[in-house]
Amino acid sequence: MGEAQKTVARETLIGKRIPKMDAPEKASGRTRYLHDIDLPGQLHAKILRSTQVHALIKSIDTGAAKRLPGVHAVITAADVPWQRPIGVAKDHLPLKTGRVRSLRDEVAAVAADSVEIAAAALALIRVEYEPLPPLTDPVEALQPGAPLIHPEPHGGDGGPQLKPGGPVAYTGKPDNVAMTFEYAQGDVAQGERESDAVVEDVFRLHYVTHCCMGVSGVIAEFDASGNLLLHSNTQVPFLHKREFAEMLGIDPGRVRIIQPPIGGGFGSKLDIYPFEPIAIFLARATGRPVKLVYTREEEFEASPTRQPVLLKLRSGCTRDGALTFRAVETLHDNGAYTSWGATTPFVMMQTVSSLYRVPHCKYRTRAVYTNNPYAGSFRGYGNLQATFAVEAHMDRLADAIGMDPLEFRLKNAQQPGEVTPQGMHFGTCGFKECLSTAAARSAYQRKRLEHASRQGDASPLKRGVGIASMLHVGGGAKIYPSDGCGTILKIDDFAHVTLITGASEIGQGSETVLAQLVCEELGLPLSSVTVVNNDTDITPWDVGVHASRTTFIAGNSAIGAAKKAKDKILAAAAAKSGRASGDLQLSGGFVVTPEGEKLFELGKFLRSLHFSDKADLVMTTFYYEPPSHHQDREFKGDVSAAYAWASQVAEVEVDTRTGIVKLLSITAAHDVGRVLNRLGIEGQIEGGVVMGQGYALTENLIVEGGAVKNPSFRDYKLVTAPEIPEMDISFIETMDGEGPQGAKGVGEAPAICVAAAVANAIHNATGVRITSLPFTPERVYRALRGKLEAPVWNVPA
Amino acid sequence: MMRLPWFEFRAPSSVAEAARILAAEGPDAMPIAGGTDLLPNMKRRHQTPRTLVSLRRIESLKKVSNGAGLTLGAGLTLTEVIHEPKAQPYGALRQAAAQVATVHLRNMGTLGGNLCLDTRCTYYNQNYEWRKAIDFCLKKDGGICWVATASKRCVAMSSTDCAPALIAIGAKAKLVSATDERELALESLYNNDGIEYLKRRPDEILTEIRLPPAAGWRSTYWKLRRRGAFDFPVLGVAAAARFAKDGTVEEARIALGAVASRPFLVPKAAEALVGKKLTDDVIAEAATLAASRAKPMDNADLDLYWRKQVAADFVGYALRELRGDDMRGTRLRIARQIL
Repeated sequence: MGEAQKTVARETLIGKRIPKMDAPEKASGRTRYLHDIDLPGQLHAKILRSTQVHALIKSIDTGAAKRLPGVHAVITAADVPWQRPIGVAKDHLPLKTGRVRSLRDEVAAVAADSVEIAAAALALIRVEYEPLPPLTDPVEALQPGAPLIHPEPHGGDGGPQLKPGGPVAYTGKPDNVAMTFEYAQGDVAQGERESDAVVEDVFRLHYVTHCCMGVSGVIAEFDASGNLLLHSNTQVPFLHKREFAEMLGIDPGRVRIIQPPIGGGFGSKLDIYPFEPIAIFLARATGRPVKLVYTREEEFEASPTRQPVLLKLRSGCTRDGALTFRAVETLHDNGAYTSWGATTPFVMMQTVSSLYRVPHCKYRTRAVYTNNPYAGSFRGYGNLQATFAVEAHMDRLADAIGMDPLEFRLKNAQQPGEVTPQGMHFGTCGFKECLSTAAARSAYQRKRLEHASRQGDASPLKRGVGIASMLHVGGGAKIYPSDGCGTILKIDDFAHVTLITGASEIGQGSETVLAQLVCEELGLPLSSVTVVNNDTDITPWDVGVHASRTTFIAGNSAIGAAKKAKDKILAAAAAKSGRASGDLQLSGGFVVTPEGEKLFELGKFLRSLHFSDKADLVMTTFYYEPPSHHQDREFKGDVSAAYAWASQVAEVEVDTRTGIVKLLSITAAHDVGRVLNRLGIEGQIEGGVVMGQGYALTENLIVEGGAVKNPSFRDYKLVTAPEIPEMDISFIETMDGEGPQGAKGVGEAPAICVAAAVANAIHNATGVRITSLPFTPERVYRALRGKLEAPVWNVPA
Repeated sequence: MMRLPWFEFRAPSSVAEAARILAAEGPDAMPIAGGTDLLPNMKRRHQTPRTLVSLRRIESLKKVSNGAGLTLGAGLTLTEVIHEPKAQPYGALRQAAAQVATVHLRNMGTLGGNLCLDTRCTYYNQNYEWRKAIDFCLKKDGGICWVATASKRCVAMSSTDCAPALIAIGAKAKLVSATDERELALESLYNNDGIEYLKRRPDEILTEIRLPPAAGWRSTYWKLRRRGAFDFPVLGVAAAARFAKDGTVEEARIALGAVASRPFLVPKAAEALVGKKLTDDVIAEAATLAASRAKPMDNADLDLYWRKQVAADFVGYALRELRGDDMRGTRLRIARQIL
């Protein structure tokens, strides 16, 4: 044995390729998801859904179901007169009273000894309906005389009255408009007068859904004192605590939520849905733990979708390529109830007003009730739809004035330091670098000209390239009163760190990134950290996993806690060694001098603190709230502390004989602030691109007459491995001053502009502009022959 | 989706024993091989057999033997068929088997199972509740065909990939029951009826597929589906031809799958090839003739109009591959693999 080394070299984990901490468990099939958890005495619940798209409930007979051996409870709205409406607009009663408004509507629920018995009991429930005229076309929803979806207050429509002074009911709506958004800057008419080129199109964006491997589910149980424990897949445990407490009329402090490892969220687990209160009602009725897990079909039919949008866009520019105005009007099919999908215009308008510099802008959205499935939040949050339209017009305007589309974009692109008319402050902004990097690495400009010149060739195979870009929140999103996250950090006697964070892990790799950031501060290897992140009784507050916020917000919070721990240790080490604490560092598991000379082994040093006369444990807390603000009533201002940028170039091959589009490659350049975990971020981007590819080419939740026609993975066409394109991913590292180690959020970004880039690539290949999705072979085949009906804007004013 | 209904499970070790069980149990018994289609279908209550007779332990169903041609046991998995050295000369079969579903399903699913695959339809291949919501359909539990409401006949679609390939090759199928056995041309195994799509009696077991000698023949299979994995065919084109030294076609067969309730031969299109070399014009003529027989219904993925429009293209791909064109680029585009 040689002499023990006296110094340690400073090593960093930032930017390295680090496998996810949960990978061994998941890859070996040992992870225990919600589905794998069974509690002693647990019952299994199932929900009876409506067989009618729109109808009045005349009667419900649960007698036979209740008599079935093995059934412990059968409930309908009549059994829970104290239930209250849920969701963004509080327009949704978990168990329906007088009226069903879509096929997914919950009419009754059963808790039984087994799933099979629960299913058999559902078959015994007799519901008598009086059918009403269905409303399944959002355009029709605005016509005078259209059937009304929420004409009466919920709870008062034939069902039991809510208790006087009790929770409020939804008051009902005299029309079908669920939500409206209007935004304006400048004067669009003036912009149009100043334009040399003006283009207008109508775009139609379709239904898609999340397809999480882990379907929705919950296990609810009350203890003997009436405290509620939920094992839940939710993305927003702390917000849910409050909702459930209000629902039950109990103190939120008596609601505890444990999140088992979550098999994907993508926004689908961001809202409260009826199945959760229903499981709670059944747990209360039976006094037993109640497990309710969706079947795959239920997941397709009854969980929320990305919102289908009809969008009219009119844009203009001057001869020399300056954007002049943009006017957007959209119609969203809200479905029968209001979830986060209705609020996505809030993100869409940012893309419309601020992805590029546009002086004059007008944006109006109406989300209307129909008897269709209802729309929720989904990775990208409206931005896929807005970007699809805006980026199509960037190409069309460039064409109109004869300018190269890349030059046109560069000319209008935002840059660092810009404050947009909507009031968004762009600190770091690598947009121009994203554009030029993606274009250079894909040879976009050369290929665009070559491919365009071959449009008239005899070969039926045409290639094309298309570019599109996106802007998205990258530093949290202040849509609730707080956008913060708390951290508790303890270092034990053996220099092992337990990082207790409010941030939820939904497969995106946040555990690993947070552990990395802590290790970076404390000079420890990744194996020295355990992350605890899934129990509201233990973890500090967090607003939830959404808006690409976790690395940024929870990361800053974790760093804050680690810094405090470091300060504490170094102060003690300074006292003990007689050096100034500013001269000391933590590295490689030691307290070291600036030269890297080892002073104390960290574990030993922590033990000496603990077991000394003035015994002390190293434990810290930190709460991080980003420096962003609420927008004003006119939607002006910043909601995020930083913004993410990306440009992607798609290259496609179109077989003009068949209309089959093959996505050959995606060249992506993302301004991510800084790469923290290279392996993780590549995975995020590859996964996002594939999700965007599905949106562009194959995925389509077919809803006809209010019914989902393809509720299975056989018929809902996710992209399969052979379709996945070559990907070339570049990172633009702009080192955001607010970001943890300079990083910005990236969770949603990669999915956002794929469809827009593919649309532009198909146009480059064939000269045909298709304004509706997805680009199935049938659609492309028809479009190439001039037989595709373009979407029309026939929406009543 | 519901759980599996209750059933009895029998696992005989010989064809004779299996046949005896089927005879004794009557039509409420069904043979099961890989189960990759039957078990999910049972969860949707498409089939609710009282007894399942497993064929997996019957070694003789896995036999591969040479004689005049090649005999393949119906119990070979599709993966085994793909990798069987003696089957390599039968290009269409290998290409068809390699495009069935996914690798996991091919590891379980068998050749016999694919040949006996239930017919498929948008209104049928749904779970019980979904079908109940539309008051079921002609094929199962209902009285109306939702694809063609005036139709007295179920128009569910034959979805086997291997059958058109083997029909073009000229294969025969052997059926064994407790009392007799018979051999019939594979195309004769099928009825153009979405419900009674097989001429196999419930007490019969498909035991063997007999392929004629491959000498002098070339064959190919092209499959249309949305994605490069997993999906059932919405068009299958199989073509086989025997060529003279100078490239003149001496004998040919073209079979179509997934455009009717059965796979079928298109003799007119094949005749148009005989005595000729496969020039572009000859291919175009045969492709048009074959495609005119493709009458898909609006009951599968991808829309009807388009499926009709591209049928001739697919026949053309098959014939060009027979001619010896390098079709790897087109294969990659269509099948997403070279095959």
